[in-house]
Amino acid sequence: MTVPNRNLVSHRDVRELRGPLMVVGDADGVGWDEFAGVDVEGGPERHALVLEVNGDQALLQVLEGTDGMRLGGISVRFQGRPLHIPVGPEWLGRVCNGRGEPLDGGPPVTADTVEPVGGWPLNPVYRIPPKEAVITGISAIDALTTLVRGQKLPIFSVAGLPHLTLATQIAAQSRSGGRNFRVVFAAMGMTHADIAYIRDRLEERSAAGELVLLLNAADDPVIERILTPRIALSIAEHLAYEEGSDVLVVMSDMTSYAEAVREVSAARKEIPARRGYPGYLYSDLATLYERCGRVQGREGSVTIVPVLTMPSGDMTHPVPDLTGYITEGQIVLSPDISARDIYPPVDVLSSLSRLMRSGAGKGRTREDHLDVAAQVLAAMARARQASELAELVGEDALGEADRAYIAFRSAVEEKLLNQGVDEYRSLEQTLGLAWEALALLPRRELSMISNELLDRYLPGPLGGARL
Amino acid sequence: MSTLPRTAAPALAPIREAIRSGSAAQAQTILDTAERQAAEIRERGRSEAGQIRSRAEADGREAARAEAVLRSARARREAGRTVLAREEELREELRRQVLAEAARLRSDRRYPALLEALRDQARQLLGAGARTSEAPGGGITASLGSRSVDLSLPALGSAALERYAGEVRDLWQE
Repeated sequence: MTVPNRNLVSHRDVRELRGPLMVVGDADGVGWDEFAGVDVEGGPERHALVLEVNGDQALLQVLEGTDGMRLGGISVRFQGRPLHIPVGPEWLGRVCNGRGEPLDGGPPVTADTVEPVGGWPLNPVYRIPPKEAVITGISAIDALTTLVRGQKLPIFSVAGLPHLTLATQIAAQSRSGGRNFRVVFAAMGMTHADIAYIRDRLEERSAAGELVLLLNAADDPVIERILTPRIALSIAEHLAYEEGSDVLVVMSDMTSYAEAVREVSAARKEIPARRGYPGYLYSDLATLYERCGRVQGREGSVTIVPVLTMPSGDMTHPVPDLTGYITEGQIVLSPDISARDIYPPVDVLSSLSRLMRSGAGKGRTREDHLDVAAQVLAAMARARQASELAELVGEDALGEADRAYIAFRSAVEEKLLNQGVDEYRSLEQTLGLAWEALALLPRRELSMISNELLDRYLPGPLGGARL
Repeated sequence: MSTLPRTAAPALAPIREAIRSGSAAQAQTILDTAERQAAEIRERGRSEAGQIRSRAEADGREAARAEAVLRSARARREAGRTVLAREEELREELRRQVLAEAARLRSDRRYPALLEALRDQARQLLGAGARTSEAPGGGITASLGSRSVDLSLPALGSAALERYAGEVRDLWQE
């Protein structure tokens, strides 16, 4: 009878405990990033990660912290490899904590395949560009900042705005043409009230076996928060590239994740960079965001929607700033629009999906989609100028065109952008609403759309009532 | 105040008649307008009431649908929870049986050979100088310096369950 792997060997030479850190001696052969189980006398098993190795000493970070531990009563079992998790469709429909342990009363998730949570490096030339739209059923996104299979499109928000409602609505409603659509929702640093809200909102998709829910609460261990998105992405990669599904990974809130990175970095006494975040925050975020995409010869795709709250609405804060370097556009939520009771409060003039051209338009969504989006955005910019002018001279003093632009903006905000928190709008409905708003403008102003499309789609007699 | 001569009365009669009929016509017009306006208001009121009623009906339907969705989601969650709890019970039961079977190995006639194999295993893991002893629950524990190894029967039983997770899953997947 052979018993493999060295995780049966317990190391008891624990030399120091400091904060979340633990120094273990006589640990020859242990490698960086190795995962370990920690048995504590009279307590449940804890988990640790090797941060550094020096000679025969290893420095570990204990996920659950070292509170209640004392030298002499601890034994550490190194697993001989970084944290691996089982991956496969067994995750679908399950609700787990940020470390992948069940919260739904079921057995631990097991599968025939295990993968490292950090993912395998992929030859960059095997990546193929994102293509085809993911329809979220939310007009503001589908019409103007279309999400594309394999894209990473963050939502930039501010505390107090309904970003969690939007994130859960995207997770609950999104679908792509034809293929299996699966969602992995990684919640990080959430309050228990938020967690209950997320579970309620995503119940239907979860019960349908299309959703994996990983929930890291605000009072859960900090390192766990660092693992949560990695576990989510490992699950997603397998579902996408092995099972052939289109997988959407929603990660909320990435600011909370970055704060966890900062906390761990401070515990390791690393030199802080901007606002105390470590200098490697950029590459750390990139190791997450860059795991999305499509792969040559494989069916599925991984699309990432990270949600981040900008402290004090500051877009130059390191987290949104560095995220913006890596991701392909952004959806910005605005407190001003939210104050006007418009949901989702998307600031369309600050939002952008850089890959929209790969996912929308003729042969992908609808022939008029890109032109309509361009025209709506151009008209919204002009409407902003007109409303600024109206504040100075009064609306009555404006010309006919400017008044039409202001009416257009109201129609866009109240009819096209404003939507119920459970409402699914098909792309046809969304584009129909956009055309209704455009019909409020004189036809001569619609210079970004060809006459042919205007004749076909503009409501009113002869393609536009206001000739 | 001047008075008109008597002879003026017949002369004014057509004017009086014209004024009277004019005012009667005007009164009729005003009356007609008022009636029309009243009818319009009544009609508007009716259609507004209709709209309010249909909006309220739509709201009610939407609220009922939302409530039904929520209720069915909760029911499904409850059902899902029951299924998962049952799976966990099965797993626990299997674990209990595996550990009981593992403990029974102690009375197996091949147990001494098993102990010897485990001693070899412990020495492979820790080194030739490892001190081994029989664990209270059966099997072997060994140590060398600060390192130790638990090859007791309960530990081996648990490890086997983890290793054959796929077969454990078959309990409820088939």
